[in-house]
Amino acid sequence: MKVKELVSKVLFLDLIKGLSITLKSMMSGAVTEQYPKERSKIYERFRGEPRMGVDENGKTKCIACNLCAINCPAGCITVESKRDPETKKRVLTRYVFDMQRCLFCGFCEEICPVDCIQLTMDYEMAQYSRKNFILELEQLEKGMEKIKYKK
Amino acid sequence: MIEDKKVEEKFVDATEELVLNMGPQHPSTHGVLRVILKLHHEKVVDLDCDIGYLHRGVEKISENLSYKLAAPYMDRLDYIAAVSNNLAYVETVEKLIGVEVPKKAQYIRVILTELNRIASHLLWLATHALDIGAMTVFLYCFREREEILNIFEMVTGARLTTNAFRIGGIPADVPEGFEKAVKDFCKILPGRIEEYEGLLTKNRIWIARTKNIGVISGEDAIAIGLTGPSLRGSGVKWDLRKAHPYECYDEFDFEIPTGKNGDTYDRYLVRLEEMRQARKIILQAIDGIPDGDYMAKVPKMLRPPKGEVYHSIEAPKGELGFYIVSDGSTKPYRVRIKGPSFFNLQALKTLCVGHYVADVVAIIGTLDIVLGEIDR
Repeated sequence: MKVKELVSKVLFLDLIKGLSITLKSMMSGAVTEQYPKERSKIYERFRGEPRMGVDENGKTKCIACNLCAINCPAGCITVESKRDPETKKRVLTRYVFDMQRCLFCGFCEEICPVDCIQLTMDYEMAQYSRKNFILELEQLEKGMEKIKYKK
Repeated sequence: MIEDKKVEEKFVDATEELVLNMGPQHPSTHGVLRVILKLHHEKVVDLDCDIGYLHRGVEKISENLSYKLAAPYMDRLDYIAAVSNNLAYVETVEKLIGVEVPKKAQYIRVILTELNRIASHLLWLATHALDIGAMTVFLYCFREREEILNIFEMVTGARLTTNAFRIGGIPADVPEGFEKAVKDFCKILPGRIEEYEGLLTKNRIWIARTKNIGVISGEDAIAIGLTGPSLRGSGVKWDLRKAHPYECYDEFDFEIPTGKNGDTYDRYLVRLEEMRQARKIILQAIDGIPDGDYMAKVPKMLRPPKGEVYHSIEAPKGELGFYIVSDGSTKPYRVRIKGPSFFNLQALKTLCVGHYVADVVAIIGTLDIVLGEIDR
């Protein structure tokens, strides 16, 4: 055993083995993604940018039940509503989503009884200003403003 | 002659003990850990750790949230092993309210946690090797970790802070293609571990940097409170998956690897073997996923009975336990987290004294600490 170890040390067998592995990987192709040019594959369940759904008439699906606000661990959702005197139903007056506090846990999406709020597959959410992260209903329906860069 | 003497005196002055701050912003401290080293020449005489730079008050936050809502915060303790953290919390609450989780959910939980164990060990190996100077391994390990993160994204919807489980089961059934992805990963893993071994195990520099560095005996390790691979590296065969089986670990056949000398090299070998064993568990679990429900019946608002409960699991880094006191309301009265990294860090002084400064980096690496969990 001792002789074997000595021989391998003198002949640099350990280093040669390591080098052969790195050489082998050098020959195989690259594994990295060239991000802006090449989009990575996003799976369907990905929890990204929040979005509010609209019905066929373009009106919000939200029924102002406040469940998403109650079930948010970070408390980033604010729902304001008033009762319609005619139909006796709650009507949404304001919906604010503070993206800076969001954990992307997906509880709001899970609890929503009408599938209104959803965490979409969009993942590019960087903004230049903090106030752009506080999203009102209108922005939540059409998505955050994104800056498209050209070369 | 007189001048010579002066030079000598100068030398004597120069060999006084030196206090050196390592961190808080140091690449090898894996977060923000400040180590105050007392050095004699280049050898460590004494050291002290300053922690708390990453304190967020998770325990307090969870006291102000209902039981279900606190779960995503637990992902952020040890963010490298988010699935394990989530599992520990969710299981503790399940124990408190006395819910039996369906078999199917248990199997999927085991698969995800074991994948997470591999991911955590891969990241450990990557950064540990990088600290010591083997850059290639870093890149190779991240290549494989990416595959695991893709599986997490497919199943849970997030790559790092997965929020994978709910109290009572899992939020949704596994998607199509999950089984294939896991099996494909299991197929490539042994070859990749061979690659790391080829690069490191016999490498003379690796051996020189890790053998007989940071030696701790089994008794000392137990006395300090080391758990996980750091303890098993010292030859103590203690694994909560075998000692107090949770989920359905008693149905699987796997071994607990242990080291002999309790040095950095042995802990490295133990972790590599643990990856192989985790793969073995995954392969057994993926073939045996039973049909049925994936979520038990749990009330929407949890009101556990008055009482307290402690439950711990074998996280990749060691024993992760949660102690929850309930006062009968919707929010826990107290949540105490017993994280493995905090207790493993206590061994740093015992391991480092007598070694060179460069070895401190290797020893911090071998303990596999994550500051997010130490500071909470």
